Amino acid sequence: MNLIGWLPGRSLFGRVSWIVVIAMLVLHVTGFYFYGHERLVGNARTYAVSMAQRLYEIDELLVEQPNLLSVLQTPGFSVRRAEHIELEDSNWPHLDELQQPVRDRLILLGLERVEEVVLSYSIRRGTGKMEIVMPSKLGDFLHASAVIKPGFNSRLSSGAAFSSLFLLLIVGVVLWLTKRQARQLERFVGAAELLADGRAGEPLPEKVGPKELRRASSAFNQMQAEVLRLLRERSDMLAGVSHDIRTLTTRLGLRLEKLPEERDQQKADEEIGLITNILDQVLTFTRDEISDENRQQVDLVPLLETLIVEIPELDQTRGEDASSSRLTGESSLVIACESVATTRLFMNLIDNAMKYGGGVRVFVGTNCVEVIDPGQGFATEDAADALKPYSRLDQARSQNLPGAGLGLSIAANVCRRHGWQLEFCEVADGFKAIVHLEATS
Amino acid sequence: MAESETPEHVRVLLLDDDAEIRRLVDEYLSQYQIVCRAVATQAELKRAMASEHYDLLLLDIMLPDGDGLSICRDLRQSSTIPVILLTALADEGDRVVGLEMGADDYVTKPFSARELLARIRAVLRRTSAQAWVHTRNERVDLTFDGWLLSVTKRTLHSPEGVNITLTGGEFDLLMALVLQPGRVLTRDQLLEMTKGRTGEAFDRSVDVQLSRLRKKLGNGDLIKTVRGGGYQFSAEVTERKLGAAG
Repeated sequence: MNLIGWLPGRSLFGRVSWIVVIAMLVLHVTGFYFYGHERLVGNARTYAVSMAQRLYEIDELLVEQPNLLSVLQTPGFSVRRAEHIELEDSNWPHLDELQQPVRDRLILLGLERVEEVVLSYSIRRGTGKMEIVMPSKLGDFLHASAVIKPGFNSRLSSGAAFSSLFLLLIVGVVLWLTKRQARQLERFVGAAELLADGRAGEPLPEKVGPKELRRASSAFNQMQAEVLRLLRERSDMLAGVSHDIRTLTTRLGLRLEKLPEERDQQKADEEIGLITNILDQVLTFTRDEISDENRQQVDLVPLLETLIVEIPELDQTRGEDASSSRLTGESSLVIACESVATTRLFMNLIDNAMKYGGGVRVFVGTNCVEVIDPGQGFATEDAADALKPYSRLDQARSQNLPGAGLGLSIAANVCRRHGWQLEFCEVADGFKAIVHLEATS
Repeated sequence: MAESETPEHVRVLLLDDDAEIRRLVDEYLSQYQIVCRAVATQAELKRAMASEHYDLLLLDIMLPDGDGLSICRDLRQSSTIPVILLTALADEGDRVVGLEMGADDYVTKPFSARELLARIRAVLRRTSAQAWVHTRNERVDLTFDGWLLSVTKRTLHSPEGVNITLTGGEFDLLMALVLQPGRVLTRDQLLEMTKGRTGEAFDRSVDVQLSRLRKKLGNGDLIKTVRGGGYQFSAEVTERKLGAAG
């Protein structure tokens, strides 16, 4: 598993993870520090006290048998008599914490002149040297020095290793639990994004996860259902209107055919066609806002070729020539998409090119499709307006052109749903609409 | 278009809830020696069908007493009468559903009388031609060499599962070839078999369509050119019940 990917810094999960990890680390380090210090001082204290006690006992012994001194030397522990107090410099910062317990013990044993007891503790190159000078009952002083290992003992370091391991375990469990919670949130976000793209998914589960998320899921489900209901209502209403108008235009068309052939008859026929077109566009646009079409692998090249071949204005007897000179670029471009909607997208772009530009060429790139016409198009900065429903950029020019002004809006909807970019630009020999496709397979 | 294309005394039964459309269609078809009986409800339709024989049924999809689609499906249980749906819906999905329910063709409102007449003739011609008979009522998908041709959805999928778009004419041409694998078909035969549904094939050269079709089929030798002017579909074709995966 990719650990970097697993710990995204900006997501909720990532942030919680970082907070947890940092908190744990701080806790561990400070705990380790205090724990270790406590152990260190404790060890030294124990040693100093036992050393003082031993020194006191030696003094008692020496009062009766003064010549035993040489026998009492052991490796790592030496005693000698001294005329006055002389000590090596102490470099251990917590010496004060040793002084009192040592004196307390000596008072308990019955030593007089306790205030004259001094000790030093120095650590050099990993070796500790502890010295105690104590007033002897014989009047002078006894000086003891011992070599000790000041470092952590093995019990201490195994404890540290254990607690580190434990910490890692806790961090792992916390990350796992957080990730689980985050996954539910991700599902929520995914559903919202899907709806924003005009596709309704399954309702979110409302019975799992933290309370806030359950409420949010439930609210989202209600909203989604309401949005779908409104869209469906509008679509149904339009379908009803469309049905009635179609019945009337059917009648009208049939009546027209009974009239004697005249110039106006053909025009009237065309106008019936236009009415139908506008109805179709409005219906398509409305239905398209929420799509339930399944995606499948579609090769765009035959799709585009079919559209070009079926352009009614082109001389169809030269079908082969027409399609090969007008369609250039890749010989295959397979992409996962809604097949009907994608057909509509390119049909609209090609229709527009024919309608406003008077001709069309299509270029298929490795990851884009360009629809080029020899016309003037519109200024690039007007693109946003052109995509608005029911908008016509050039009133004077489009007055006589049929349509509801929805062609580009429908195209833009299809692109938005697929995550494609629709771009328009002027080129040397005309105007170009580019559909940038996402990564193809 | 010669009037003699319609066989004598064809009897058509029309179901539409709009009285004016019933009258106008009736009047128009009568000019072409087609006897048209028009009814307004499903109940009337059943009575009419029980009492007399008809060659073809024109069904409106949206009706006050039950929709044309379910009527069509019910009809298919007991009858093989050709059905053309009249639909006020232009949606791709509705069209496919209509064909899956057993309709032979569909006409979108508003239709012109000329178009309706052409469709009636085409369907009658198709249903009488041997080649089309067995696809009419058993709605199956056809597979050949890994390719999948859906008769009702009118789609072609490559062995890799990629949707390959065909024009109406190309689809009809492929159907004509696929339904008679191994048989050598002449240009004229292909033209005869494919014209009608879309009407486009009248104007366009079969050869141009064939070369495009070959390109879309990956330029293999699925469609062979036979010396002496004919085409032959070389792969083995199997039928698959509709609703199977794919």
